[in-house]
Amino acid sequence: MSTNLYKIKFYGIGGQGVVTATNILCNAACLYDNKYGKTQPSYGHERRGAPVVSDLYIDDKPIQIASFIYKPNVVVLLDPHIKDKGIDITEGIQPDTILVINSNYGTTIYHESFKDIYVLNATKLSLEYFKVDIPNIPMLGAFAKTGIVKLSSIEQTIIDNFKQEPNNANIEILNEAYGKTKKI
Amino acid sequence: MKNKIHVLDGNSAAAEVIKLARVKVIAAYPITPISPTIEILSEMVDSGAMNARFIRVESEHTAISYIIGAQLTGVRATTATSSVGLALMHEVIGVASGCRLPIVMPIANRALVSPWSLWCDHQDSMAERDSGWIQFYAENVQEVVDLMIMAYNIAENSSVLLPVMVCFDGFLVSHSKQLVFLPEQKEVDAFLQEYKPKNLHLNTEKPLFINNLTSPEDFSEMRYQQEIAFENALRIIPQVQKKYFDQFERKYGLFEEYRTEDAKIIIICLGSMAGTVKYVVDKKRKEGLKVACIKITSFRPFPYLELTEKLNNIQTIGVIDRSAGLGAQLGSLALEIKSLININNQKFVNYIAGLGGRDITENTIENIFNDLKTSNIEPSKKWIDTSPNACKIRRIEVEK
Repeated sequence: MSTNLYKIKFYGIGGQGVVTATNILCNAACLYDNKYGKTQPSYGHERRGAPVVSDLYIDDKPIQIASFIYKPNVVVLLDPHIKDKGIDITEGIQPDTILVINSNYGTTIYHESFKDIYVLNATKLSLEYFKVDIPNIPMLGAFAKTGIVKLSSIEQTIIDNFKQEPNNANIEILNEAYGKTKKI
Repeated sequence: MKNKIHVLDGNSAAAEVIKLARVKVIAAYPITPISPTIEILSEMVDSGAMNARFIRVESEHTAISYIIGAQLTGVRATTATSSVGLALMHEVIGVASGCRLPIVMPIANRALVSPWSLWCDHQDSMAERDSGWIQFYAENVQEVVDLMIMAYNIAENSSVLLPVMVCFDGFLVSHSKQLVFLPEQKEVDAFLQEYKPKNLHLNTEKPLFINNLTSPEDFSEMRYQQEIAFENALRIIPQVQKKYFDQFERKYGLFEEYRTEDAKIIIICLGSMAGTVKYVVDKKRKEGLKVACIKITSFRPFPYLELTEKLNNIQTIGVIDRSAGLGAQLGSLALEIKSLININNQKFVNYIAGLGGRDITENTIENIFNDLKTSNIEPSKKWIDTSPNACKIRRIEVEK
């Protein structure tokens, strides 16, 4: 079995940029980290505010598997209140699964389940920078703390993807998020 | 030459190749999950990145009619569709093949109604399998790129002159972003010559009746010509694949064998599920099981001679169909395979899986390998991933 196959599951709600976040990470891994990436977004009856899941594989070699992720070794949570919407992010997790979480309060409910937890109040940062709660870019900064994809690669991908608009705020929030992320 | 690295989903890859092939006319009507291909092409034409006419017609029936007319003027023309869009084209796609027009059309596979579904299965393209179109099935985004580029070369070969559907799984490939090598324009120009019609075409100097009423005296002969074209395609496809390998270093065949050397149990399938099968094959091989996968790349023409030879010594064969084949003994792919083997010496089971977007998971494939190891021969299909209470789902009791 491939030891470097990361099975990453993003949870959030429609409008938070969940699919965009996995796309940016996939580009960063493929174009700047010399790795292979594959997204498997789950499309359905999209609407703002509904729970959204997006899956991402990253590996050192081409990724054969072509299905959704059922046993993630990384879980990324953009919406801290998703539990209230009936979504259980511990579903299918393994003893070594890690969690990257957007949280403004405690993460104790997940301490038992996950090996490591990387926590950031991404909503607060997003509100400070953009006056809206779109936590995907700061959560990419938090994700970079895991070391799976380099911060500089994510930064370069954001520069590539948002060419038309002034992009400094995205880069600043990414780096501030990286600095503020705590490992528990 | 490995070409430049890109990250593309299946829909963008199809659009990029249409641009690289210098297609001059696009007529399309959007439908999930292939709409992004059409949107990207529309933007490419609008921005001037692509020198072509884009016409948003009012239906898929008109889209295919429009591009048949356009291709007859002597340019590459295309459309793209899925599911009920392809079904609505049904009446006209036979005109494209009957007029021997080498149109290349990407299809993002999606279930046919009803029940209504947006998600992947293969019933839409399987319903068109005898329509006189070549059908390729791509496993991943790289294969969308490569099979589409090769498709133009194959279709336009003067001893083929058949249209091609390049099918890829809706959402699983159409919306999955993957690392791909995309050739540059000058490399594709070197591989694909400028389009010149080799048979029927429109010329105001020399008017010609096209698709006129054909009497029984000629009809069989016209069909027979198409049959011969498919036979020729079985010979031409490997030649084009060899040429492609020489230029781009990516190897293709009519089908792909994965770890078949000493295999005792083999799964045969189409499309993206082949990736998951290969992944499970690696896992099972580590446990010492001699399992393998064959992925059919060219479903039409069907490579029956080459496959017969390969399957000769395999003890146990499982075929996965991603369409129900209602009323038939077996699914569409299984019917083809069963006719090639000796059922007295070989164990054969057909599995129906992954309908209407049901995920074909590692577990599904492991269940199939376990079932192949232990079960007896089944005369009909096995619905491997269907829930045990299937017949109670959404059943309405009518009041008397």
